[in-house]
Amino acid sequence: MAVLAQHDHVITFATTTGSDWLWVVVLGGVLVAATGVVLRPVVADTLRPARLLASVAAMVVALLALLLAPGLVLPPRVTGLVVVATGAAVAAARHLVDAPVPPWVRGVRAVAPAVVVTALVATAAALLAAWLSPPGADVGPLLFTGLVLGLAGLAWTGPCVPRSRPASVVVHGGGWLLAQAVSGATAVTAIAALPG
Amino acid sequence: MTAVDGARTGGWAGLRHTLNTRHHKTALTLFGLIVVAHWAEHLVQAFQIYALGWPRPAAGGVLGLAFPWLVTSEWLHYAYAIVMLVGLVVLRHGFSGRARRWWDAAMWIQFWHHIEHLLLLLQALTGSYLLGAAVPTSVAQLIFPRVELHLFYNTIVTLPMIVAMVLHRRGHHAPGAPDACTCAAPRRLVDAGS
Repeated sequence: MAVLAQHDHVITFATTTGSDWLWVVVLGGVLVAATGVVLRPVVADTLRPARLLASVAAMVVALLALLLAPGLVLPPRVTGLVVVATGAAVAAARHLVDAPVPPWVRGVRAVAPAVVVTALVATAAALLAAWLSPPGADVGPLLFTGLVLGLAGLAWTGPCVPRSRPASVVVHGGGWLLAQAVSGATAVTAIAALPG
Repeated sequence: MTAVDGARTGGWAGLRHTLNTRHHKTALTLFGLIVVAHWAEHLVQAFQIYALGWPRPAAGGVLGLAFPWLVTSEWLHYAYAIVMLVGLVVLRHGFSGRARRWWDAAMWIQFWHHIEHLLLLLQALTGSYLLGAAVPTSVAQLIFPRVELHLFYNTIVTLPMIVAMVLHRRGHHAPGAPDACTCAAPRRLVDAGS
């Protein structure tokens, strides 16, 4: 089987593995990301490995979800920009909380809480739209859109460094809600993908 | 961030120390030759397509004409992306100051480039294409729908690498960095921020 890829390569494989194992990775990754975000205020808000692990897991799962999605309701260019921006957020999460950081990391940290809230609203809108769709409608794109945006929001909690109680409530509360939404969306999309 | 910290004995740490000190120039030269050769292949490929009007599957560069499997094997392309990333990571320890920042930029861009290749590989392996596309598609392709993306990626990795090497050869080391390697000639100290 030869496939002309849009990255200038002709890809040849004798057979394909199917996407079932991708779903297994997605389910495991969502558990890691959601658990990391939910437990973060309990374990240690500034613990870098916990923040980074949740962000990386969310990013990886988001990329895999894009492979499994039949499409999103977002324009492709917007989707690409969301992925790139989320990559920047994950990179920013690498930096220690109280260490000197480059200006771009400070910029990411400054906007991160707003991005988390925006992702939460967008995820809720997509999933609500899917839930309110008439029976028989193809809600796959809406569900996957909610899933990908929710995962992006989870990844963006990584660089968040709330310094006040209201900020902590926004970041941790928003993260908690996103974790629930992403977990639910993953379950629904995985079940919908089952044969029959 | 300074250059190599002290001597190391055997094993991987010793090899890494050697590659970043007395053999840094040799390692960088070899690595640079591999990178530029790969980049040149894609330049020739682009010339074959756009100047000579060859169909894309027939444009194999130079080595690809003699050995077509070099172009068609996605595993090989991914392996090259890994090799390049490993080279950028291992040889970064010999840099410092401005040269280190440029080298790190190349490294991070290549890290993302390798993720794109991994995604392409996964798509070809699973038959699940990005957002239901008809062919394996990279994330950058969503933003820039151009088929010269691979040449673009290699360019934006190679250029900061070359800048880093030039600065390194000119002896742009951070203050306090140990006399780590013999690449710089003549050696002079400059501010890390200049």
